[in-house]
Amino acid sequence: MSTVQILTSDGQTVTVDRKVVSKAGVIDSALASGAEGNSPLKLDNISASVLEKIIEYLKHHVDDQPDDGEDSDDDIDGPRRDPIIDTWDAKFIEVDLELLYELILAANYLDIKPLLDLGCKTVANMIKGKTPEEIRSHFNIPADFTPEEEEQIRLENEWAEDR
Amino acid sequence: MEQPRRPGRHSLGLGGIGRTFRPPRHSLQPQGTGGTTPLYTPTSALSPVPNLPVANLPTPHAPRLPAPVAAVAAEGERTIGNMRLLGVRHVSMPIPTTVTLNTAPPADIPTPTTSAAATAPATVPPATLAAPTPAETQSASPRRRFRSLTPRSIPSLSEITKKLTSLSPEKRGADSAARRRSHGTEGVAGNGSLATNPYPNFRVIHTPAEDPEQLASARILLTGSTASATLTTPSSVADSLRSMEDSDRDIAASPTPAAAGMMTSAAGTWRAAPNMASLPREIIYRVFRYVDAPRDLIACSQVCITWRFPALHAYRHLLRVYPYANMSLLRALRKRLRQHHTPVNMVRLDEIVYGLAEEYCQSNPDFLILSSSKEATDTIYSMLWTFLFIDREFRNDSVRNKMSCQYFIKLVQGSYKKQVYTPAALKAIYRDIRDRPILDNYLPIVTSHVNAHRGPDPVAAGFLLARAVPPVVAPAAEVRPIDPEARSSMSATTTTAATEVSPAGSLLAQPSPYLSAASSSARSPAPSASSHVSSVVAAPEARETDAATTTSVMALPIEVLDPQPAVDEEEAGVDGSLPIFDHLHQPLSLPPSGRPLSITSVGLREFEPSIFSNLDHLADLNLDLDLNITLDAVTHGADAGHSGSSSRHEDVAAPSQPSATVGGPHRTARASPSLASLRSWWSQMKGPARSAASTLR
Repeated sequence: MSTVQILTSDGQTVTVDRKVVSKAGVIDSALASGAEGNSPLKLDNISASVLEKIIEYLKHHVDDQPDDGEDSDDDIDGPRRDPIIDTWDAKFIEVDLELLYELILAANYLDIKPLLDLGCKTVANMIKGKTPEEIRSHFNIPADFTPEEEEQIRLENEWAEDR
Repeated sequence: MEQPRRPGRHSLGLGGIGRTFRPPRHSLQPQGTGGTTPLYTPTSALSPVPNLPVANLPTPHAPRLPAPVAAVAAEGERTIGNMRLLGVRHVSMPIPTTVTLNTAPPADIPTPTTSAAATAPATVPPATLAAPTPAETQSASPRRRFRSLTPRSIPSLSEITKKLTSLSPEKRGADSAARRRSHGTEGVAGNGSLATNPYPNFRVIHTPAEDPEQLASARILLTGSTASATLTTPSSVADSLRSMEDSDRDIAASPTPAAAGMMTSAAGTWRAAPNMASLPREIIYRVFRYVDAPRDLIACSQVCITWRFPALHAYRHLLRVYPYANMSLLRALRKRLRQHHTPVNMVRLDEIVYGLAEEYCQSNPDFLILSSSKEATDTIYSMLWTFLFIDREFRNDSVRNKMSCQYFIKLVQGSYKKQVYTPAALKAIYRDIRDRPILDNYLPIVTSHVNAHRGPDPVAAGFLLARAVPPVVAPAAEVRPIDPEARSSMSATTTTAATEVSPAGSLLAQPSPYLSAASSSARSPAPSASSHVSSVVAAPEARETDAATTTSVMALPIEVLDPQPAVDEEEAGVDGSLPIFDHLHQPLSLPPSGRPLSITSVGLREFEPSIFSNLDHLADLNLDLDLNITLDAVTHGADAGHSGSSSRHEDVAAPSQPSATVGGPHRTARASPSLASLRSWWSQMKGPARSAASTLR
């Protein structure tokens, strides 16, 4: 049971179980490619708090079987219809938007597909049933449309009204 | 300016853009002298201060001065709006900091362009950073213009691609890196020189100027936050630039609530707000793949620029994969039938409806909750047919008592264990069908010949001959009263006078080699019948001989037996509103002997399995309509219906004919061949007529 040391962006060194952390594709490939030495893995983009959260996720899912080809629909370029989130995952992902943002980015960077999907599903669930203004205020997004685009959007909304 | 297009399904930004890709002709070539100069500023020009935001002055080149929006629109030049909807902004932002001013800077002011240059503005060499002199900008204007790609400096897409392709290789690499950064990853991987950039997403949006004061103002907008500083000093560009250098202090002094979230200044560097709009684009796509309602995707597309194109992409995908998502059943039916402009026959319509039921179930997974998936499909299938039933009934003028709304609700609700629709919804559906026809507008139905499809061996099925007799009404002529006991024995003997044209005679008159051959061969054992068309075919005696000749008929080659659908299309043209289920009323068989050839339910069942599976579905669902008729009943009914129909025309003149009493229900079904009449026919078949039919059997 070997462990891996990870140096986060804010200078902290986190020691993780190797089996846990090899769930992340990037770290797994980095470890497999011979970075066996005692020098800690350096993750420039991930802060310690985010890494802690990710490790919590990975520890819970350490025994999960990876999805095989026919089960994962990643290759299918289309909408997916399984926005069902596991109970533990739902509790895990109940974080504020900033941490959720960091988690999604970190999962993307570390190539943890289940976590990335979880974050995307969460964001998608936040989006559902909201008007554009509500989405903007919820996610703190500025409306950066030019007046021409706003005009076009207004036309779209006119069209959508009589639908 | 292009005409304001009518809002339609293509007005979502995708359909409209493609048409406007072709640039206006006068903007194909850049004006002025800079047509052949390299369109991009080399990297070395920026290398002295790579970490600092570079504020590019627009060209002071007089003819290329940016005009107000209205003037540009009058020239026919495209504004940036649609281009940015395409995501062109990312192409056009190799350098993240751009500033466009609407007025030409005074040439005599040594303009500080960077905040580093602000400390010593005069010492910056003009070749690298300072504002170009007017003589210099004559030639350098295109490259300057590219670096300050403001909305209105993008006249066309082709010019952009020209600029992109004219990049030097190393520049192209840097540009793609910058593009990658502008796709959002810079929030995490702040690499290189942009890591310390205070404005990682700095960009300028052109604001249309209503008054000359605003004409001279430049609006700086930070993507990823709402922090914007509007510089409203019209007098001097240098002032505005200077105040732009102070803009970070301005923002820090008075941050907007949204900007307060991003103003996490740590060690003097600005970090982008943890904003969902600044997610990497592939993650945004991934998020939108989980948004499964079209309405939500449209809402997402109207949130911000970064989300617009991914949301529209996902929306289009959603519509393609799940075309009936969140659509009412009736609307889905109309939409599906609208896709057919050519006439379809009954079998095809049934396939369409069943396919629609399946697609609807896939598009709306809520329906799967009702029951298992197959049952949900069947539920929707039968419900669609119910809609079509009552639609046909409303369109049929000869149905006097239309189905009432209460009966409809009772019919639908009583059919299923789990209620799909509330009575109010069913009432709305009923009214909708009553007011707007489903079928007549969209889908002309031709009468179906059941074996218009290729099946297992048609001859072996013993079916083709029966089918090949076209369901034409016999020419109007007087028909003698038909022998009652012959009719009661269901031999369907046609008695015709010597001068009359029997159905067999009309067959002979048709230019079909098969028909003539078939009829002649069928008559060959009876010389009198073959020699004289008008001869009376004695039913009981001739039946056995016909059964004997059936084999010789069935030995006809298949190509001779080719069906002729032209007859039906003619009939479809005459009769404007051809009903569905018409083929059930058509006399499927009238062999010359009068005895229908062997249409067994077994033969038809293996010949047309789809019809029977669907009919069985309907029957299983126990609608109030009794669909569970056996094929023999169909055969007999069609048989009697034909004999009734042959007497239809003179029935007006002689209503007291015995055929009017015997073939009564079938005759009405024939005269008004519609769904409602089919329903009444069924109900009568259930009643005494059915018992009579069973005795006939």
